[in-house]
Amino acid sequence: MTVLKPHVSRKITIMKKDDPRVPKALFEIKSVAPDLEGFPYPLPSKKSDYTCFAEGNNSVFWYGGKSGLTRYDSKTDCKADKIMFFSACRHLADNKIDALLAEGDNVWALTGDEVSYIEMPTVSCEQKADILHEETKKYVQRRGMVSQKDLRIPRDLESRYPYASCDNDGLFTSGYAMAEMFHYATLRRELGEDHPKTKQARADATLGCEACLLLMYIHGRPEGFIARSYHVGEEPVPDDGHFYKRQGDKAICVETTCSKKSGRAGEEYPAGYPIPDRLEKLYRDLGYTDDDVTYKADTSSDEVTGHFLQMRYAHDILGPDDPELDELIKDAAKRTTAHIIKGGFEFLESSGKPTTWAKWSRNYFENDDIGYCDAPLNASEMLMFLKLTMYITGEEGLWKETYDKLIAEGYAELGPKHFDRFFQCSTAGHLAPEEDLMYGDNTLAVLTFWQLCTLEKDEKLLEIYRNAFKSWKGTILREHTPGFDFMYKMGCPDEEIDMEKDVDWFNNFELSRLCGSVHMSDRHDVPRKIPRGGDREVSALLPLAEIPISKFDRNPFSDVEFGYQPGTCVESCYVFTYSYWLGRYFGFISEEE
Amino acid sequence: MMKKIAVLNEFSIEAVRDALQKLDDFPKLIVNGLNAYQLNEIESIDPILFGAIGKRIADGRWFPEVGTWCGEKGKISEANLIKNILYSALYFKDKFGKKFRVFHGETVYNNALAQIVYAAEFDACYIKDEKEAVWLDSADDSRVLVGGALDVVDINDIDDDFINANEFGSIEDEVIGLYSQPLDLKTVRLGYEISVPTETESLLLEAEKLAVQNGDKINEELGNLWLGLFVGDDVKEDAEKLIGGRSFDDKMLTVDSDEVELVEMKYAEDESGDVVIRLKETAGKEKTLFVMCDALNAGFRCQILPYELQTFRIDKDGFVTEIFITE
Repeated sequence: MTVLKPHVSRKITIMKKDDPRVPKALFEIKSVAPDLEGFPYPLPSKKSDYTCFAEGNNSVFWYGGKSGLTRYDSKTDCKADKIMFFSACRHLADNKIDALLAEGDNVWALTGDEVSYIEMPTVSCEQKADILHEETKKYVQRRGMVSQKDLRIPRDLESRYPYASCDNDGLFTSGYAMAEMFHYATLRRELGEDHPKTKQARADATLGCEACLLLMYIHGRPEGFIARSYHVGEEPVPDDGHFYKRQGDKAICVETTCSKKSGRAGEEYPAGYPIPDRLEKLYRDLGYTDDDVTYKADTSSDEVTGHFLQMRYAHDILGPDDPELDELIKDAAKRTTAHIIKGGFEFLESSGKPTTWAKWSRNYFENDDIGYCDAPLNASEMLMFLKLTMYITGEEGLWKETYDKLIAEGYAELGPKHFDRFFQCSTAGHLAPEEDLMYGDNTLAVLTFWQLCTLEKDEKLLEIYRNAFKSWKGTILREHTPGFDFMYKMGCPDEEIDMEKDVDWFNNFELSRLCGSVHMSDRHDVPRKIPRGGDREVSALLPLAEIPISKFDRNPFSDVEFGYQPGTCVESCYVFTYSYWLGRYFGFISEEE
Repeated sequence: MMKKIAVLNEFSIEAVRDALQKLDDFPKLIVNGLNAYQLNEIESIDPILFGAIGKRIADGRWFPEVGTWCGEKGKISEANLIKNILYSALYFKDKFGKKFRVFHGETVYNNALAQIVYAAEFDACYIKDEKEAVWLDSADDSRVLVGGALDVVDINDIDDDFINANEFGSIEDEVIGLYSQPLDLKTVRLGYEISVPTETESLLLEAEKLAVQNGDKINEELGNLWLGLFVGDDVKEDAEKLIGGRSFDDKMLTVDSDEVELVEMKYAEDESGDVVIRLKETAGKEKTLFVMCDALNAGFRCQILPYELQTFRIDKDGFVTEIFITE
């Protein structure tokens, strides 16, 4: 087990230069360029671009200039901490720094009419998880769902919109919910069931689980389905897909560009399956009824995968003391899996046509170019759904019969073909695999194979599943994302993961998920890779605090800054809390006593 | 019906003329053959003939052998293979403005073949020794598709009836065409071995480093020596002359790991004054590196995979780009 130690973190406050908090001494400083001759480490800006500097506590130097702020800690033993880089809009109002004033561990940076106060508090990872979680609960969560929120005023969390929209509410909320389940289970083990923190964690985990389950019932479709997301009352419905408005025991397809194109606008479908009271309260308690609900369909395999994982751990961790919840989980699992089997291993819209991205059928694998490449993962997902349905319900019957049938049809053997097929498809288009990857697929792969490798008892199948997991190794392990690494290690115990880099990941995570652009385009200390044909990458994994904030679905090596982001979005905590509490729960990491 | 691959095996003016005549007579015929060295020779002997071949290359009727400079037959060092590919690829780019996707080789030249070929931006290999299509993986997990045996005929041996009765293709298109079929191939994994350059190769590499250290722009001379080496000339003495008893100062460029080797440092071939460096991880462990070179105003970090070979280009302002070995 790796022991995490309290570590310096970045806390940013940006204010106008006439703000009374700004020390007058900042304006009295006469800036002098630092002497960087023979400087021993790569510097983010060109040496000639640095125009000012300040010395803080413990020989920490701050170097400012035309293109951002550099922190140099000559005494730290941690290679990743030697040099830190701060840039606009995430850490600075502007990249051109006029003056610097060190104040203990912190620094004031004057940039035109604004000032950034950069604090470097030392916090433990558990404290960081708590800080991030509180931010998410206060500013991001909506009716238990956790994705992200937009802000009206840059950097002002209080200006958040009351609503949000997200295609993958189910997947992201599943990640959040599992994080809180592992959180709760860890605290229960360490502090006891009655500790207030344990109780709170249980409540948070339960809410996350309920929010996910609601998506599995909110459509009211008798045959089982999962909505991507839902809106209530006057919340704006985005024009980017197929939405259905609940009306009594029917759901009517809302007019959008997509629904007009598909000819489904205005179509009515049965929606009489009851929404359990316990789940309905998530919107009913806010004054909304079923008829105020508009849900999004065209659900993808991403969502289904996330839901199954969260159901498994809710069943394991929350279920024993909450039989009502456990029954809902069992019902949802059975109805979803039955829907997929009945649909010929495809997720079906109300119209009876398959959704765009939830296909696990041989027809898709054999008659579709993308299906050929998707087959190794999607076939394995299907086996995982069946395995988890058996695990959660404790039943075999149709689930076992179908699992055995698919194994006999070669579904398991498709898994290890992933890298061959993916490399083939990428190279056919003169792309490198890492340029061609849909990064969310890394998440789906680790979730799927983690489950298959830890649930399968048949040695022969287990070896196949492990080989399948290893066929994803290249794109998974290069990220050094602890959440991925831990699941990989549990699935393939004979494989090595780099715990040192995983610790760097935890340490470099910032104390807020407030998004803001970072300056990457002319960093002097990191090479850009000439791409074969796809997106550009940088040659080194930069600290998380120095790359764009994202979920688990972006390339951390990307050289694309995702456009200008002035700080008008706040992401959720789940990327950190999932990795952290998973690591704590399964014994990969602990906190220093 | 499997396409026939018409190949020019005999290197003579007469054989080339015969192939060109057949291309004129049969609009659907395609010819494969001639490496960089052979084309270079033809140009110096018969520029008009060279022009005719060039026209057919531009038309997509003649596919040259883009691979090693002169069709190396046996094992060669990694350094040698890299230089062979560099000069060959640059030759075809400069002379014909074309980039090809398939590397042509006689054999698997060394264990780094897959990574060197992939890092030279090729998408597949055609290796005459290899009869079966396989995935070829190097120790750093680089991979390249090796096309299997093709239905090869000698362009000079086939007659009009045969040409009329068959369909013809290029090695390039046939090998790349494998990507559009469902594939279920065996993977051949090459091990790791330390590839030691020959004495003369080491001297040439040292001369390149010294040229950068001293600001000597002698790429043309160095290039000629490498090309001479490829065709079997003894260039040792010339390389020693370029070195002139001097030795490269290793402190000019430092890497914070003893397990990563600076295998090459040279001026870029485009005469821009940019410097190209090549690093190689030798211990089989991924690393984050700090690379410092004050003399070039450069200092950068990079992540190198086990046994990976990485090539970087440093411009005059010290900005760094990770590039293909073909620069």
